[in-house]
Amino acid sequence: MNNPVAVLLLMLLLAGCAPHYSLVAPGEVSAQGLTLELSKPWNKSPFSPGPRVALWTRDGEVLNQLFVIGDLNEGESLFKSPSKEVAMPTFSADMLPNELVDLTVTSLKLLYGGELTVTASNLRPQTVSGGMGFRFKLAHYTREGLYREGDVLARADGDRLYMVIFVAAKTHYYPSQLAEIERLFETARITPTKGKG
Amino acid sequence: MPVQIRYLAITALMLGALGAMGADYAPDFDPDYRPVPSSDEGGLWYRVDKLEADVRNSPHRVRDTELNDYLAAMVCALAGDFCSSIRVYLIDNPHFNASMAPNGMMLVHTGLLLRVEDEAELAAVLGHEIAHFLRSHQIKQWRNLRDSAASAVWIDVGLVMFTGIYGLAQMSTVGAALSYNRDQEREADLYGLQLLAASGYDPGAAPRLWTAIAEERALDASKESRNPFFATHPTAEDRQQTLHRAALAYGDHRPDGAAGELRAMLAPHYFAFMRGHLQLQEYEQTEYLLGKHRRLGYPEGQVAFFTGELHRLRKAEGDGDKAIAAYSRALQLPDPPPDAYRELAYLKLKDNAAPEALQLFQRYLAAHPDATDKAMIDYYIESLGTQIHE
Repeated sequence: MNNPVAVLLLMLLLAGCAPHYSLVAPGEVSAQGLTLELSKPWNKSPFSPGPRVALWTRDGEVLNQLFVIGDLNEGESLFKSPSKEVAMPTFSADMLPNELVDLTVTSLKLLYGGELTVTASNLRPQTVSGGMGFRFKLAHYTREGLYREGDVLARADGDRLYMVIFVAAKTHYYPSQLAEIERLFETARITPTKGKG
Repeated sequence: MPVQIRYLAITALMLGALGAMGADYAPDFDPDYRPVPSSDEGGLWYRVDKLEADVRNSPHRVRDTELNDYLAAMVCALAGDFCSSIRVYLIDNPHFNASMAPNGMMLVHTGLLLRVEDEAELAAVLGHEIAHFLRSHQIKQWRNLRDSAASAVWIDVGLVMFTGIYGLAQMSTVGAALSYNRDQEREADLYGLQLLAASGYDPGAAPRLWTAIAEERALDASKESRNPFFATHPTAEDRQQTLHRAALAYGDHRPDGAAGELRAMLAPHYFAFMRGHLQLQEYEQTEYLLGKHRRLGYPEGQVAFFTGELHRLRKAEGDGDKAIAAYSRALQLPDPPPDAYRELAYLKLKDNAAPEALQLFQRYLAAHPDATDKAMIDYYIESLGTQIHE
Protein backbone atom coordinates (compact mmCIF):
# COMPACT_ATOMS: atom_id res chain seq x y z
CA MET A 1 0.00 0.00 0.00
CA ASN A 2 1.66 3.19 -1.18
CA ASN A 3 -0.81 5.79 0.08
CA PRO A 4 0.39 7.02 3.54
CA VAL A 5 -3.04 8.55 4.31
CA ALA A 6 -4.74 5.21 3.69
CA VAL A 7 -2.17 3.46 5.94
CA LEU A 8 -2.85 6.02 8.71
CA LEU A 9 -6.62 5.62 8.35
CA LEU A 10 -6.29 1.83 8.48
CA MET A 11 -4.16 2.05 11.64
CA LEU A 12 -6.68 4.37 13.29
CA LEU A 13 -9.50 2.02 12.31
CA LEU A 14 -7.70 -0.98 13.80
CA ALA A 15 -6.80 0.97 16.96
CA GLY A 16 -10.45 1.97 17.32
CA CYS A 17 -11.48 -1.69 17.36
CA ALA A 18 -9.12 -2.65 20.19
CA PRO A 19 -10.64 -2.65 23.68
CA HIS A 20 -9.00 0.00 25.79
CA TYR A 21 -8.80 1.19 29.39
CA SER A 22 -10.42 4.54 30.14
CA LEU A 23 -9.29 7.03 32.77
CA VAL A 24 -11.28 7.38 36.00
CA ALA A 25 -10.21 10.84 37.18
CA PRO A 26 -9.82 11.78 40.88
CA GLY A 27 -12.77 13.44 42.60
CA GLU A 28 -16.32 12.28 43.21
CA VAL A 29 -17.17 9.38 40.91
CA SER A 30 -20.45 7.48 40.54
CA ALA A 31 -20.36 3.86 39.49
CA GLN A 32 -22.88 1.03 39.85
CA GLY A 33 -25.05 2.99 42.28
CA LEU A 34 -22.14 3.94 44.54
CA THR A 35 -20.52 7.37 44.82
CA LEU A 36 -16.83 7.21 45.70
CA GLU A 37 -14.33 9.95 46.51
CA LEU A 38 -11.11 9.17 44.68
CA SER A 39 -7.86 10.83 45.73
CA LYS A 40 -5.92 9.37 42.80
CA PRO A 41 -6.82 8.28 39.24
CA TRP A 42 -7.76 4.72 38.29
CA ASN A 43 -8.16 2.96 34.95
CA LYS A 44 -11.46 1.34 34.06
CA SER A 45 -10.98 -2.10 32.51
CA PRO A 46 -12.82 -2.87 29.26
CA PHE A 47 -13.21 -6.45 30.55
CA SER A 48 -15.95 -6.23 33.17
CA PRO A 49 -16.57 -9.57 34.91
CA GLY A 50 -20.29 -8.84 35.28
CA PRO A 51 -23.10 -6.45 34.30
CA ARG A 52 -23.21 -4.93 37.81
CA VAL A 53 -19.43 -4.59 38.12
CA ALA A 54 -17.02 -1.79 37.24
CA LEU A 55 -13.45 -3.13 37.37
CA TRP A 56 -10.68 -0.59 37.92
CA THR A 57 -6.91 -0.95 38.23
CA ARG A 58 -4.04 1.42 38.97
CA ASP A 59 -0.97 -0.53 37.84
CA GLY A 60 -2.41 -3.53 35.98
CA GLU A 61 -4.98 -6.13 37.00
CA VAL A 62 -2.48 -8.59 38.43
CA LEU A 63 -1.05 -5.92 40.74
CA ASN A 64 -4.23 -4.22 41.92
CA GLN A 65 -7.95 -4.41 41.23
CA LEU A 66 -10.94 -2.51 42.54
CA PHE A 67 -14.32 -4.13 41.85
CA VAL A 68 -17.19 -1.68 42.32
CA ILE A 69 -20.40 -3.71 42.52
CA GLY A 70 -23.82 -2.20 43.06
CA ASP A 71 -27.53 -2.20 42.30
CA LEU A 72 -27.26 -6.00 42.47
CA ASN A 73 -30.74 -7.46 42.72
CA GLU A 74 -31.94 -10.66 44.33
CA GLY A 75 -31.09 -13.69 42.25
CA GLU A 76 -28.15 -11.99 40.51
CA SER A 77 -24.53 -13.13 40.80
CA LEU A 78 -21.54 -10.88 41.48
CA PHE A 79 -19.71 -12.12 38.39
CA LYS A 80 -20.59 -13.84 35.13
CA SER A 81 -19.69 -17.52 35.22
CA PRO A 82 -16.51 -18.33 33.28
CA SER A 83 -18.04 -21.68 32.24
CA LYS A 84 -21.51 -22.91 31.37
CA GLU A 85 -20.84 -25.88 33.67
CA VAL A 86 -20.28 -23.63 36.69
CA ALA A 87 -23.21 -21.83 38.32
CA MET A 88 -22.21 -18.72 40.25
CA PRO A 89 -23.82 -18.20 43.69
CA THR A 90 -26.49 -15.52 43.77
CA PHE A 91 -27.46 -12.73 46.16
CA SER A 92 -30.61 -12.79 48.27
CA ALA A 93 -31.82 -9.91 50.43
CA ASP A 94 -32.01 -11.98 53.63
CA MET A 95 -28.32 -12.86 53.58
CA LEU A 96 -26.44 -12.28 56.82
CA PRO A 97 -22.77 -11.19 56.89
CA ASN A 98 -21.46 -14.79 57.02
CA GLU A 99 -23.44 -15.61 53.88
CA LEU A 100 -22.20 -12.52 52.05
CA VAL A 101 -18.62 -13.52 52.92
CA ASP A 102 -19.33 -16.98 51.44
CA LEU A 103 -20.89 -15.33 48.37
CA THR A 104 -17.77 -13.20 47.82
CA VAL A 105 -15.20 -15.93 48.46
CA THR A 106 -16.97 -18.54 46.33
CA SER A 107 -17.58 -16.05 43.50
CA LEU A 108 -13.89 -15.11 43.39
CA LYS A 109 -12.79 -18.75 43.58
CA LEU A 110 -15.10 -19.76 40.72
CA LEU A 111 -14.09 -16.70 38.68
CA TYR A 112 -10.61 -18.26 38.64
CA GLY A 113 -11.78 -21.76 37.66
CA GLY A 114 -12.12 -23.13 41.20
CA GLU A 115 -8.35 -23.58 41.45
CA LEU A 116 -7.51 -20.88 43.99
CA THR A 117 -7.95 -21.08 47.73
CA VAL A 118 -9.48 -17.75 48.74
CA THR A 119 -9.64 -17.06 52.47
CA ALA A 120 -11.64 -14.42 54.36
CA SER A 121 -10.93 -13.06 57.85
CA ASN A 122 -11.49 -10.08 60.16
CA LEU A 123 -15.21 -9.75 59.53
CA ARG A 124 -16.37 -6.66 61.43
CA PRO A 125 -19.21 -4.11 61.39
CA GLN A 126 -18.74 -0.90 59.43
CA THR A 127 -21.11 1.97 58.82
CA VAL A 128 -21.72 2.35 55.09
CA SER A 129 -23.61 5.38 53.82
CA GLY A 130 -25.16 5.92 57.26
CA GLY A 131 -26.41 2.33 57.61
CA MET A 132 -25.23 -1.01 58.97
CA GLY A 133 -22.69 -2.64 56.74
CA PHE A 134 -19.55 -4.64 57.32
CA ARG A 135 -16.11 -5.33 55.96
CA PHE A 136 -13.58 -8.15 55.89
CA LYS A 137 -10.16 -9.09 54.58
CA LEU A 138 -9.30 -11.42 51.69
CA ALA A 139 -6.17 -13.33 50.76
CA HIS A 140 -5.21 -15.70 47.96
CA TYR A 141 -2.34 -16.76 45.76
CA THR A 142 -2.75 -16.29 42.01
CA ARG A 143 -2.33 -19.32 39.78
CA GLU A 144 1.25 -18.19 39.14
CA GLY A 145 2.00 -17.93 42.87
CA LEU A 146 1.68 -14.18 43.54
CA TYR A 147 0.27 -13.51 47.02
CA ARG A 148 -2.54 -10.95 47.05
CA GLU A 149 -4.46 -9.43 49.93
CA GLY A 150 -7.64 -7.47 49.86
CA ASP A 151 -10.43 -5.69 51.70
CA VAL A 152 -14.15 -5.88 51.05
CA LEU A 153 -16.80 -3.35 52.04
CA ALA A 154 -20.43 -4.47 51.78
CA ARG A 155 -23.93 -3.40 52.61
CA ALA A 156 -27.27 -4.86 51.67
CA ASP A 157 -29.63 -1.89 51.26
CA GLY A 158 -33.20 -2.97 50.85
CA ASP A 159 -33.21 -5.65 48.18
CA ARG A 160 -29.93 -4.58 46.63
CA LEU A 161 -26.30 -5.33 47.38
CA TYR A 162 -23.48 -2.78 47.24
CA MET A 163 -19.88 -3.90 47.51
CA VAL A 164 -16.33 -2.67 46.91
CA ILE A 165 -13.59 -5.29 46.62
CA PHE A 166 -9.96 -4.18 46.66
CA VAL A 167 -7.29 -6.83 45.91
CA ALA A 168 -3.59 -6.13 45.38
CA ALA A 169 -0.20 -7.83 45.45
CA LYS A 170 0.94 -8.07 49.06
CA THR A 171 4.40 -6.85 48.10
CA HIS A 172 4.34 -3.04 47.83
CA TYR A 173 0.95 -2.55 46.13
CA TYR A 174 -1.42 -3.56 48.97
CA PRO A 175 0.31 -1.64 51.79
CA SER A 176 1.02 1.42 49.64
CA GLN A 177 -2.67 1.80 48.67
CA LEU A 178 -4.24 0.84 51.98
CA ALA A 179 -4.64 4.38 53.39
CA GLU A 180 -6.32 5.49 50.15
CA ILE A 181 -8.68 2.47 50.27
CA GLU A 182 -9.55 3.13 53.93
CA ARG A 183 -10.63 6.65 53.00
CA LEU A 184 -12.54 5.37 49.97
CA PHE A 185 -14.42 2.88 52.18
CA GLU A 186 -15.25 5.56 54.77
CA THR A 187 -16.66 7.96 52.19
CA ALA A 188 -18.56 5.47 49.98
CA ARG A 189 -22.20 6.48 49.58
CA ILE A 190 -25.09 4.54 48.12
CA THR A 191 -26.74 6.49 45.30
CA PRO A 192 -28.90 3.93 43.49
CA THR A 193 -29.03 4.17 39.73
CA LYS A 194 -32.54 4.88 38.46
CA GLY A 195 -34.12 2.41 36.13
CA LYS A 196 -31.86 -0.48 37.08
CA GLY A 197 -33.18 -3.93 37.77
CA MET B 1 -25.82 -50.88 17.94
CA PRO B 2 -24.54 -47.35 17.09
CA VAL B 3 -20.99 -47.28 15.68
CA GLN B 4 -19.51 -45.44 18.71
CA ILE B 5 -20.98 -47.86 21.24
CA ARG B 6 -19.97 -50.87 19.12
CA TYR B 7 -16.41 -49.49 18.90
CA LEU B 8 -16.25 -48.99 22.67
CA ALA B 9 -17.68 -52.44 23.34
CA ILE B 10 -15.20 -54.18 21.01
CA THR B 11 -12.27 -52.21 22.46
CA ALA B 12 -13.36 -53.02 26.00
CA LEU B 13 -13.65 -56.72 25.15
CA MET B 14 -10.23 -56.77 23.47
CA LEU B 15 -8.53 -54.97 26.34
CA GLY B 16 -10.34 -57.14 28.85
CA ALA B 17 -9.08 -60.22 27.07
CA LEU B 18 -5.56 -58.76 27.02
CA GLY B 19 -5.72 -58.27 30.78
CA ALA B 20 -7.11 -61.74 31.33
CA MET B 21 -4.20 -63.20 29.37
CA GLY B 22 -1.86 -61.40 31.77
CA ALA B 23 -0.35 -58.90 29.31
CA ASP B 24 3.08 -58.08 30.62
CA TYR B 25 3.96 -54.43 30.15
CA ALA B 26 7.56 -53.26 30.52
CA PRO B 27 9.11 -49.81 30.81
CA ASP B 28 10.40 -48.13 27.65
CA PHE B 29 13.69 -47.11 29.26
CA ASP B 30 16.14 -47.93 32.07
CA PRO B 31 16.05 -46.38 35.55
CA ASP B 32 17.71 -42.93 35.79
CA TYR B 33 17.33 -42.45 32.03
CA ARG B 34 17.69 -38.92 30.68
CA PRO B 35 17.20 -38.14 26.98
CA VAL B 36 19.97 -36.54 24.92
CA PRO B 37 19.47 -32.74 25.29
CA SER B 38 19.60 -32.17 21.52
CA SER B 39 16.75 -34.65 20.83
CA ASP B 40 13.05 -33.78 20.62
CA GLU B 41 12.50 -35.65 23.89
CA GLY B 42 15.42 -33.76 25.48
CA GLY B 43 13.74 -30.50 24.48
CA LEU B 44 10.43 -31.61 26.00
CA TRP B 45 12.14 -32.60 29.27
CA TYR B 46 14.00 -29.27 29.37
CA ARG B 47 10.72 -27.36 29.22
CA VAL B 48 9.06 -29.58 31.83
CA ASP B 49 12.10 -29.31 34.13
CA LYS B 50 11.55 -25.53 34.13
CA LEU B 51 7.87 -26.05 34.90
CA GLU B 52 8.81 -28.37 37.77
CA ALA B 53 11.01 -25.66 39.28
CA ASP B 54 7.87 -23.47 39.46
CA VAL B 55 5.80 -26.31 40.94
CA ARG B 56 8.50 -27.01 43.55
CA ASN B 57 8.22 -23.42 44.82
CA SER B 58 4.47 -23.07 44.31
CA PRO B 59 2.35 -21.86 47.23
CA HIS B 60 -0.39 -24.19 45.99
CA ARG B 61 1.61 -27.21 47.20
CA VAL B 62 0.53 -28.95 50.40
CA ARG B 63 3.86 -29.13 52.19
CA ASP B 64 3.01 -31.36 55.15
CA THR B 65 6.06 -33.63 55.43
CA GLU B 66 4.24 -36.71 56.71
CA LEU B 67 1.64 -36.66 53.94
CA ASN B 68 4.25 -36.05 51.23
CA ASP B 69 6.49 -38.82 52.57
CA TYR B 70 3.50 -41.16 52.62
CA LEU B 71 2.73 -40.48 48.94
CA ALA B 72 6.40 -40.75 47.97
CA ALA B 73 6.69 -44.13 49.73
CA MET B 74 3.63 -45.42 47.87
CA VAL B 75 5.05 -44.27 44.54
CA CYS B 76 8.35 -45.97 45.36
CA ALA B 77 6.60 -49.23 46.20
CA LEU B 78 4.71 -49.12 42.89
CA ALA B 79 7.56 -47.87 40.68
CA GLY B 80 10.21 -50.25 42.05
CA ASP B 81 13.54 -49.58 40.32
CA PHE B 82 12.17 -46.29 38.97
CA CYS B 83 11.55 -44.85 42.45
CA SER B 84 14.30 -42.25 42.19
CA SER B 85 13.05 -41.15 38.73
CA ILE B 86 9.68 -39.87 40.05
CA ARG B 87 8.91 -36.88 42.30
CA VAL B 88 5.39 -36.42 43.73
CA TYR B 89 3.88 -32.98 44.48
CA LEU B 90 0.58 -32.69 46.35
CA ILE B 91 -1.44 -29.75 45.03
CA ASP B 92 -4.22 -27.98 46.97
CA ASN B 93 -6.98 -28.40 44.39
CA PRO B 94 -10.38 -29.95 45.21
CA HIS B 95 -10.94 -31.40 41.73
CA PHE B 96 -10.42 -35.14 41.16
CA ASN B 97 -7.14 -35.33 39.28
CA ALA B 98 -3.55 -36.56 39.12
CA SER B 99 -1.09 -36.11 36.27
CA MET B 100 2.34 -37.19 35.15
CA ALA B 101 4.94 -35.16 33.28
CA PRO B 102 7.43 -36.82 30.88
CA ASN B 103 10.40 -36.00 33.16
CA GLY B 104 9.00 -37.88 36.18
CA MET B 105 7.09 -35.04 37.89
CA MET B 106 3.81 -36.34 39.31
CA LEU B 107 1.05 -33.99 40.50
CA VAL B 108 -1.63 -35.28 42.87
CA HIS B 109 -4.66 -33.12 43.69
CA THR B 110 -6.13 -33.06 47.20
CA GLY B 111 -9.49 -33.77 45.50
CA LEU B 112 -8.18 -37.27 44.69
CA LEU B 113 -7.43 -37.95 48.37
CA LEU B 114 -10.99 -36.95 49.29
CA ARG B 115 -12.40 -39.57 46.90
CA VAL B 116 -10.33 -42.72 47.39
CA GLU B 117 -11.72 -45.15 49.96
CA ASP B 118 -8.44 -46.81 50.84
CA GLU B 119 -4.75 -47.00 50.04
CA ALA B 120 -5.35 -49.55 47.28
CA GLU B 121 -7.61 -47.11 45.36
CA LEU B 122 -5.02 -44.36 45.74
CA ALA B 123 -2.35 -46.80 44.52
CA ALA B 124 -4.54 -47.55 41.47
CA VAL B 125 -4.35 -43.89 40.39
CA LEU B 126 -0.66 -43.52 41.23
CA GLY B 127 0.07 -46.74 39.30
CA HIS B 128 -1.84 -45.40 36.29
CA GLU B 129 0.25 -42.21 36.31
CA ILE B 130 3.52 -44.15 36.74
CA ALA B 131 2.50 -46.28 33.74
CA HIS B 132 2.18 -43.13 31.58
CA PHE B 133 5.75 -42.26 32.57
CA LEU B 134 7.23 -45.73 32.05
CA ARG B 135 5.65 -46.01 28.60
CA SER B 136 6.87 -42.51 27.53
CA HIS B 137 3.31 -41.59 26.56
CA GLN B 138 3.78 -37.84 26.25
CA ILE B 139 6.68 -37.91 23.80
CA LYS B 140 4.97 -40.63 21.75
CA GLN B 141 1.86 -38.51 21.61
CA TRP B 142 3.83 -35.44 20.54
CA ARG B 143 5.58 -37.41 17.78
CA ASN B 144 2.28 -38.92 16.63
CA LEU B 145 0.74 -35.47 16.42
CA ARG B 146 3.73 -34.05 14.54
CA ASP B 147 3.84 -36.93 12.02
CA SER B 148 0.08 -37.04 11.42
CA ALA B 149 -0.05 -33.25 10.99
CA ALA B 150 2.81 -33.38 8.46
CA SER B 151 1.11 -36.19 6.50
CA ALA B 152 -2.20 -34.35 6.58
CA VAL B 153 -0.62 -31.27 4.95
CA TRP B 154 0.51 -33.43 2.00
CA ILE B 155 -2.87 -35.17 1.73
CA ASP B 156 -4.62 -31.78 1.79
CA VAL B 157 -2.42 -30.54 -1.06
CA GLY B 158 -3.76 -33.47 -3.11
CA LEU B 159 -7.35 -33.16 -1.92
CA VAL B 160 -7.61 -29.45 -2.68
CA MET B 161 -7.09 -30.22 -6.40
CA PHE B 162 -10.21 -32.42 -6.45
CA THR B 163 -12.47 -30.81 -3.86
CA GLY B 164 -11.34 -27.20 -3.83
CA ILE B 165 -11.36 -27.40 -0.02
CA TYR B 166 -8.12 -27.24 1.92
CA GLY B 167 -7.85 -28.62 5.48
CA LEU B 168 -10.08 -31.73 5.43
CA ALA B 169 -7.24 -34.13 6.25
CA GLN B 170 -5.80 -31.84 8.93
CA MET B 171 -9.21 -31.60 10.56
CA SER B 172 -9.40 -35.39 10.74
CA THR B 173 -6.09 -35.51 12.64
CA VAL B 174 -7.80 -33.92 15.65
CA GLY B 175 -10.06 -36.92 16.12
CA ALA B 176 -7.17 -39.31 15.46
CA ALA B 177 -4.98 -37.58 18.06
CA LEU B 178 -7.71 -37.76 20.69
CA SER B 179 -8.33 -41.41 19.87
CA TYR B 180 -4.56 -42.03 20.28
CA ASN B 181 -4.80 -40.30 23.67
CA ARG B 182 -7.65 -42.59 24.75
CA ASP B 183 -5.63 -45.65 23.69
CA GLN B 184 -2.76 -44.47 25.88
CA GLU B 185 -5.14 -44.00 28.80
CA ARG B 186 -6.35 -47.58 28.40
CA GLU B 187 -2.77 -48.85 28.27
CA ALA B 188 -1.94 -46.85 31.41
CA ASP B 189 -5.00 -48.34 33.13
CA LEU B 190 -3.86 -51.89 32.36
CA TYR B 191 -0.17 -51.30 33.09
CA GLY B 192 -1.20 -49.52 36.30
CA LEU B 193 -3.20 -52.60 37.27
CA GLN B 194 -0.09 -54.72 36.73
CA LEU B 195 1.94 -52.42 39.03
CA LEU B 196 -0.86 -52.51 41.61
CA ALA B 197 -0.90 -56.30 41.69
CA ALA B 198 2.90 -56.54 41.74
CA SER B 199 2.95 -54.28 44.84
CA GLY B 200 0.53 -56.54 46.71
CA TYR B 201 -2.55 -54.33 46.43
CA ASP B 202 -5.93 -55.67 45.40
CA PRO B 203 -6.31 -54.97 41.64
CA GLY B 204 -10.07 -54.88 42.22
CA ALA B 205 -9.51 -51.45 43.80
CA ALA B 206 -9.11 -49.88 40.34
CA PRO B 207 -12.57 -50.79 38.97
CA ARG B 208 -14.09 -50.02 42.42
CA LEU B 209 -12.69 -46.47 42.27
CA TRP B 210 -14.05 -45.90 38.76
CA THR B 211 -17.46 -47.26 39.76
CA ALA B 212 -17.55 -44.65 42.53
CA ILE B 213 -16.34 -41.88 40.21
CA ALA B 214 -19.00 -42.81 37.65
CA GLU B 215 -21.67 -42.75 40.39
CA GLU B 216 -20.47 -39.39 41.66
CA ARG B 217 -20.36 -37.84 38.18
CA ALA B 218 -23.77 -39.20 37.28
CA LEU B 219 -25.15 -36.95 40.01
CA ASP B 220 -23.89 -33.90 38.11
CA ALA B 221 -25.05 -34.27 34.52
CA SER B 222 -23.04 -31.32 33.22
CA LYS B 223 -19.58 -32.81 33.77
CA GLU B 224 -19.48 -35.75 31.39
CA SER B 225 -22.08 -34.92 28.77
CA ARG B 226 -19.74 -34.86 25.82
CA ASN B 227 -19.04 -36.19 22.36
CA PRO B 228 -16.80 -39.30 22.60
CA PHE B 229 -15.01 -38.12 19.41
CA PHE B 230 -13.55 -35.15 21.29
CA ALA B 231 -12.83 -36.89 24.59
CA THR B 232 -9.20 -37.20 25.74
CA HIS B 233 -10.01 -39.95 28.27
CA PRO B 234 -12.33 -42.96 28.16
CA THR B 235 -15.48 -42.41 30.22
CA ALA B 236 -15.52 -43.48 33.87
CA GLU B 237 -17.97 -46.29 32.95
CA ASP B 238 -15.72 -47.51 30.12
CA ARG B 239 -12.69 -47.56 32.42
CA GLN B 240 -14.61 -49.38 35.14
CA GLN B 241 -15.68 -52.12 32.73
CA THR B 242 -12.21 -52.55 31.20
CA LEU B 243 -10.50 -52.63 34.58
CA HIS B 244 -13.06 -54.98 36.08
CA ARG B 245 -12.43 -57.59 33.37
CA ALA B 246 -8.66 -57.19 33.60
CA ALA B 247 -8.60 -57.27 37.43
CA LEU B 248 -10.37 -60.64 37.53
CA ALA B 249 -7.20 -62.23 36.09
CA TYR B 250 -5.14 -61.16 39.11
CA GLY B 251 -7.33 -62.23 42.03
CA ASP B 252 -7.32 -60.55 45.46
CA HIS B 253 -3.92 -59.73 46.93
CA ARG B 254 -4.80 -57.54 49.89
CA PRO B 255 -8.55 -57.33 50.35
CA ASP B 256 -8.47 -54.87 53.27
CA GLY B 257 -7.08 -52.10 51.02
CA ALA B 258 -5.38 -50.39 53.99
CA ALA B 259 -8.23 -47.92 54.59
CA GLY B 260 -7.07 -47.25 58.15
CA GLU B 261 -3.61 -46.09 57.08
CA LEU B 262 -5.03 -43.63 54.56
CA ARG B 263 -7.65 -42.29 56.98
CA ALA B 264 -5.06 -41.73 59.72
CA MET B 265 -2.86 -39.84 57.29
CA LEU B 266 -5.68 -37.71 55.89
CA ALA B 267 -7.64 -36.95 59.08
CA PRO B 268 -5.49 -33.97 60.21
CA HIS B 269 -6.04 -32.32 56.79
CA TYR B 270 -9.65 -33.30 56.27
CA PHE B 271 -11.13 -29.97 57.38
CA ALA B 272 -8.96 -27.86 55.05
CA PHE B 273 -9.39 -30.14 52.04
CA MET B 274 -13.18 -30.40 52.45
CA ARG B 275 -13.60 -26.66 52.90
CA GLY B 276 -11.99 -26.16 49.48
CA HIS B 277 -14.36 -28.73 47.99
CA LEU B 278 -17.47 -27.05 49.44
CA GLN B 279 -16.55 -23.82 47.64
CA LEU B 280 -16.90 -25.56 44.27
CA GLN B 281 -20.68 -25.62 44.80
CA GLU B 282 -20.87 -29.20 43.47
CA TYR B 283 -23.44 -29.99 46.12
CA GLU B 284 -24.71 -33.32 44.81
CA GLN B 285 -21.13 -34.58 44.56
CA THR B 286 -20.36 -33.19 48.02
CA GLU B 287 -23.33 -35.08 49.44
CA TYR B 288 -22.03 -38.28 47.82
CA LEU B 289 -18.54 -37.71 49.25
CA LEU B 290 -19.85 -36.94 52.75
CA GLY B 291 -21.80 -40.22 52.70
CA LYS B 292 -18.58 -42.01 51.83
CA HIS B 293 -16.58 -40.15 54.52
CA ARG B 294 -19.21 -40.98 57.16
CA ARG B 295 -18.96 -44.66 56.24
CA LEU B 296 -15.14 -44.59 56.23
CA GLY B 297 -14.97 -43.07 59.70
CA TYR B 298 -13.51 -39.62 59.02
CA PRO B 299 -13.75 -37.24 62.05
CA GLU B 300 -17.46 -37.44 62.83
CA GLY B 301 -17.87 -33.91 64.10
CA GLN B 302 -16.28 -32.50 60.95
CA VAL B 303 -18.35 -34.68 58.61
CA ALA B 304 -21.52 -33.53 60.41
CA PHE B 305 -20.33 -29.88 60.22
CA PHE B 306 -19.75 -30.11 56.46
CA THR B 307 -23.15 -31.73 56.06
CA GLY B 308 -24.53 -28.60 57.74
CA GLU B 309 -22.44 -26.42 55.42
CA LEU B 310 -23.74 -28.30 52.36
CA HIS B 311 -27.38 -27.69 53.32
CA ARG B 312 -26.80 -24.09 54.42
CA LEU B 313 -25.09 -23.18 51.15
CA ARG B 314 -27.33 -25.19 48.80
CA LYS B 315 -30.57 -23.58 50.00
CA ALA B 316 -32.86 -26.16 48.37
CA GLU B 317 -36.25 -26.81 49.90
CA GLY B 318 -35.88 -28.17 53.44
CA ASP B 319 -32.15 -27.44 53.52
CA GLY B 320 -32.51 -24.87 56.33
CA ASP B 321 -33.87 -27.47 58.76
CA LYS B 322 -31.35 -30.07 57.59
CA ALA B 323 -28.51 -27.61 58.19
CA ILE B 324 -29.71 -26.89 61.74
CA ALA B 325 -30.01 -30.63 62.43
CA ALA B 326 -26.52 -31.35 61.07
CA TYR B 327 -24.81 -28.51 63.01
CA SER B 328 -26.67 -29.56 66.17
CA ARG B 329 -25.47 -33.11 65.67
CA ALA B 330 -21.88 -31.92 65.08
CA LEU B 331 -22.00 -30.09 68.43
CA GLN B 332 -22.98 -33.33 70.21
CA LEU B 333 -19.93 -35.15 68.81
CA PRO B 334 -16.34 -35.03 70.09
CA ASP B 335 -14.18 -32.12 68.85
CA PRO B 336 -16.71 -30.24 66.71
CA PRO B 337 -15.28 -27.36 64.66
CA PRO B 338 -16.00 -24.08 66.54
CA ASP B 339 -17.48 -22.75 63.30
CA ALA B 340 -20.47 -25.07 63.92
CA TYR B 341 -21.52 -22.84 66.89
CA ARG B 342 -21.28 -19.71 64.73
CA GLU B 343 -23.12 -21.04 61.68
CA LEU B 344 -25.89 -22.47 63.85
CA ALA B 345 -26.11 -19.11 65.66
CA TYR B 346 -26.60 -17.26 62.35
CA LEU B 347 -29.35 -19.73 61.34
CA LYS B 348 -31.09 -19.24 64.72
CA LEU B 349 -30.79 -15.49 64.17
CA LYS B 350 -32.64 -15.88 60.88
CA ASP B 351 -35.31 -17.92 62.66
CA ASN B 352 -35.70 -15.08 65.20
CA ALA B 353 -34.62 -17.43 67.98
CA ALA B 354 -32.68 -14.66 69.79
CA PRO B 355 -31.84 -16.42 73.11
CA GLU B 356 -30.48 -19.51 71.30
CA ALA B 357 -28.53 -17.37 68.83
CA LEU B 358 -27.02 -15.33 71.67
CA GLN B 359 -25.94 -18.43 73.58
CA LEU B 360 -24.40 -20.02 70.46
CA PHE B 361 -22.46 -16.84 69.58
CA GLN B 362 -21.11 -16.78 73.13
CA ARG B 363 -20.12 -20.45 72.95
CA TYR B 364 -18.41 -19.80 69.61
CA LEU B 365 -16.18 -17.13 71.14
CA ALA B 366 -15.49 -19.35 74.17
CA ALA B 367 -14.44 -22.21 71.87
CA HIS B 368 -12.47 -19.91 69.56
CA PRO B 369 -11.19 -16.92 71.58
CA ASP B 370 -8.82 -15.84 68.77
CA ALA B 371 -11.58 -15.71 66.14
CA THR B 372 -10.81 -12.97 63.63
CA ASP B 373 -14.53 -12.16 63.31
CA LYS B 374 -14.79 -11.41 67.06
CA ALA B 375 -15.88 -7.81 66.40
CA MET B 376 -18.82 -9.00 64.26
CA ILE B 377 -19.85 -11.61 66.84
CA ASP B 378 -19.55 -9.04 69.66
CA TYR B 379 -21.87 -6.77 67.70
CA TYR B 380 -24.51 -9.53 67.53
CA ILE B 381 -24.01 -10.53 71.20
CA GLU B 382 -24.57 -6.93 72.25
CA SER B 383 -27.58 -6.28 70.01
CA LEU B 384 -29.21 -9.65 70.87
CA GLY B 385 -28.61 -8.99 74.58
CA THR B 386 -30.33 -5.63 74.28
CA GLN B 387 -33.20 -7.15 72.27
CA ILE B 388 -33.78 -9.92 74.85
CA HIS B 389 -33.80 -7.51 77.81
CA GLU B 390 -36.18 -5.01 76.23
